[in-house]
Amino acid sequence: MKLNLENSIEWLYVFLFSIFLAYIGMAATMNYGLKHSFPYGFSASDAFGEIAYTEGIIDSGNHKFLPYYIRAGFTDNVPFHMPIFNHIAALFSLASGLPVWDSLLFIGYLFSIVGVLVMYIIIREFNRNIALISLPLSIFLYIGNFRIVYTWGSWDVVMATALLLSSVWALNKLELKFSCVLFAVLASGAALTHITEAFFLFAFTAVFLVLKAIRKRLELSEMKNLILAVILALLFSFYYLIIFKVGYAAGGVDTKIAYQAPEWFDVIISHFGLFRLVIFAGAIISLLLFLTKNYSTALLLGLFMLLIGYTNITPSFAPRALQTRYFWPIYLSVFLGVLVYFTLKPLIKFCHLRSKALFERNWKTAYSIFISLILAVSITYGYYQKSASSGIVTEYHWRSLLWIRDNTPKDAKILFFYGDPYTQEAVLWNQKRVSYRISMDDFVNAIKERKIKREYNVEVAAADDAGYLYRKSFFSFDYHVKDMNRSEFFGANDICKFNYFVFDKVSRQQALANYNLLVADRLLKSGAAEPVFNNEIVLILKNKSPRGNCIEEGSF
Amino acid sequence: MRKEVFEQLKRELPLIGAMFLILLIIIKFIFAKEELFVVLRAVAGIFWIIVIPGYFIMFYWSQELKFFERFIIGICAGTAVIGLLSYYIGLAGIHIKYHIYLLPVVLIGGGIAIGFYPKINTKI
Repeated sequence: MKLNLENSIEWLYVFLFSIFLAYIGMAATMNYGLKHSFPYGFSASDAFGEIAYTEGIIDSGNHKFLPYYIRAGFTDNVPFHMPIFNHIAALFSLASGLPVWDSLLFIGYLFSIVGVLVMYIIIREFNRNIALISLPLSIFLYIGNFRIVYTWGSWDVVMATALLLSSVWALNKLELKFSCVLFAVLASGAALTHITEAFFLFAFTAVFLVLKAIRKRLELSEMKNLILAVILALLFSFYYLIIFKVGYAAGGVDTKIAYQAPEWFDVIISHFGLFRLVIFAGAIISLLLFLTKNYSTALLLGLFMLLIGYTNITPSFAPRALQTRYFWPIYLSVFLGVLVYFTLKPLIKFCHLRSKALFERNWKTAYSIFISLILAVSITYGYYQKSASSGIVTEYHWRSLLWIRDNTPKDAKILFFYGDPYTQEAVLWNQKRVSYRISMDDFVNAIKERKIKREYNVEVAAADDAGYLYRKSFFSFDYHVKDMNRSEFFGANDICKFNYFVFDKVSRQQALANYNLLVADRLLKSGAAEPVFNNEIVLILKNKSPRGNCIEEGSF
Repeated sequence: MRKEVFEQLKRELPLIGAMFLILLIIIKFIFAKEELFVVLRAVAGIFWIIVIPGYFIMFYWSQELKFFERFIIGICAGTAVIGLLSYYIGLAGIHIKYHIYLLPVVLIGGGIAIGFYPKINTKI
C-alpha cells in the first residue's frame, strides 16, 4: 500500500467531506442523537412499513412469511418485498443495540454516502481532479425534495443505488481473475435490494458493451467473464425472482406511451437551482468528449442516468424514472466536475507556463480540493436548509402502540377511530395486531349528521399488494384475495365485534377528536367497555364482551 | 506469496483500526447528544457487519486494486454478500440473531483463506 502526500491529502478530504455529508444529512434528521424512544423523523407510511417488515424478520428469524398483522391476519403470506435492505437493517439493529427505526434511518443515510464514494472512484478512474470537483453536487441529496427519500422510507432504493454504482465499477474490472463473482454478487445484491436498479444495470451493461464493441475494445475473455457473471447473478437471485414474478410483476407492465408529470414531491431539474445550468453545460461537454473518443464510464453513466430520469413516459416505468431523480446529485455530479475542470484547464495551463514552481503536480490536487471546497460552501450556503422534524408520530402515539403490542392477545382486533398519524396506514402495523380504521368519509358524514352509530364503514390496515400472495408448492402460488370474505375487512361493520377501540383526544382538526370522545363516552356509559390505557393524546378502551351490545346508537 | 499477504494485512489492518477510532470520535462529535457507548456500539456494529467482512471479501484482489478502492467497494460487496447469505440461511432455518456472529466470522475467515490462495495469473 503506497500512500504519497498527494493521495493522503485527497483521501483525507474525501473522508472529511463524507463526514460533512453525515452531519448535514443523517445527524440533522436524527437531531444529533442515534437512539430515540420512538421513530424520530419518520414522515410517511412507507417508513413505518419498513419498521414492521424489519421487526417481522427479527421476530421470526427469517423472511419466510410476512407478519400476519400486516396481512389482514393471513399467516402464510410470502414476503414479496426485496429482502436485503431489511436484513442488513435487522442485523445492524441486533449488533448495535439501536432500535429498528433508528437503524433504518442510519443505514439509509449511510448508503447515500457510500453511493457518493463509489461514484467518486468511478469518476476518479477518468480523472482525479474531476472527481474531487464533482463531490459537492452530492450535498443536494439532503436539500429540498431530494431528501424526501430518507424521511419517507425509500432506504432500499438508496442502498440499491450504491450497489448499482459498485456493479458499474465492477463492470470495468472484468479483466481481473474471479471478478465475475464480484460482479454477480453486487448485481444480485442490487436485484434483491430494489429490483429497478438491477434493470438499470442490465440496460447500462448493454449500452456499455455495445460502445466497447464499436471501439473494438471488447475482448472475448471479458465477454466470457460477463456471461458467467450473469449466470451466477441469476443463480444467487433465483429464489427471490420466482416470488417477484408472481408478486410485484404479476400485474404486468403498461407500456403505452403517456407522459407522466412529476408530482409535487418528485424531483425536477430546477431543484438544482442555478446548478441546473452547470449540469446541462457539463452534460453537453461530456457528450462532446464522448464523440471525440474521450471514453469514460463515469461520463456514460452520468448521461445514461440523466436520460433514465426523463423516461417518465409510460405509466409503469414513470414512478421508477422519477425515483431515479432523487439520486441525480450522485449520478450527475460528474457534469459539475467536467464543466469546471475543462473550463479552468486552459487557465491552469497558462499559469503553469508562467510560473512552473507554483503549479507543480501536487498543487493540482490541492487546487481541485480548493475549488471543491468553494463549491461545497456555495451549495450549502445557497441551498441547504436544516429541516429536522420529529415526524408524524408523537411519542405518546408510539407508547400507545407499544402498549397494545405488549398487553393485548395476539389475535385481538383493534379498531382505530380518527387520529392524525393513522391516515398513514403502515403506522398501524407496528402494534403487531390486525388493525382496522374507520373510513374517513363515513366518519365525517356521521359528524355532519350528528349521529353516534354502531355500524361504521371500516377498512383493514393491511398491505394488500400482490393480492395476499401465498405459496402452494415451490413453483406454485395463489392469492387469498380471490377467496377472502371482503365484507369482514372492508365496508359496514358492527364495531362491537372489535376487542379494543383506540381514540385520539387531540388532533390538528379538533372537531374530529371531539367526536372520538363522544363515541368513547357512549361506549363507557354502556358498561361494555373499560379504559385500559390513557395518556395525553391517546385513550384505549377494551371491549369486555365482543359481539355484545357495546354502544347505544343516537344523536348528539 | 504468503509472506506478502501477511505483510499486507499487517500494513492495512492498523489503518482500518485507525479509521475506526477516527470515525468513532467524529461520529461522537456530530451526534453530540448521544452517549459514547451508544456511538461505540453503532460504529462497531457497522464495522463488524459490513466493513470488515467487505474488506476481507475484497482482499483477494489486494495486489490489483488500491486500498481505498477495495475499502469502498468492500462496503457494497459486504452488504450484498451478508444480505444474500442472511436471507438464504434464514430461510434454511438459522435464526437471524445468530447471523451477526456467524456471517462475519465466516466471511473474514473465508476472505483470509482465499487471500492466501496462490494466484498464478491475476488475469482471467
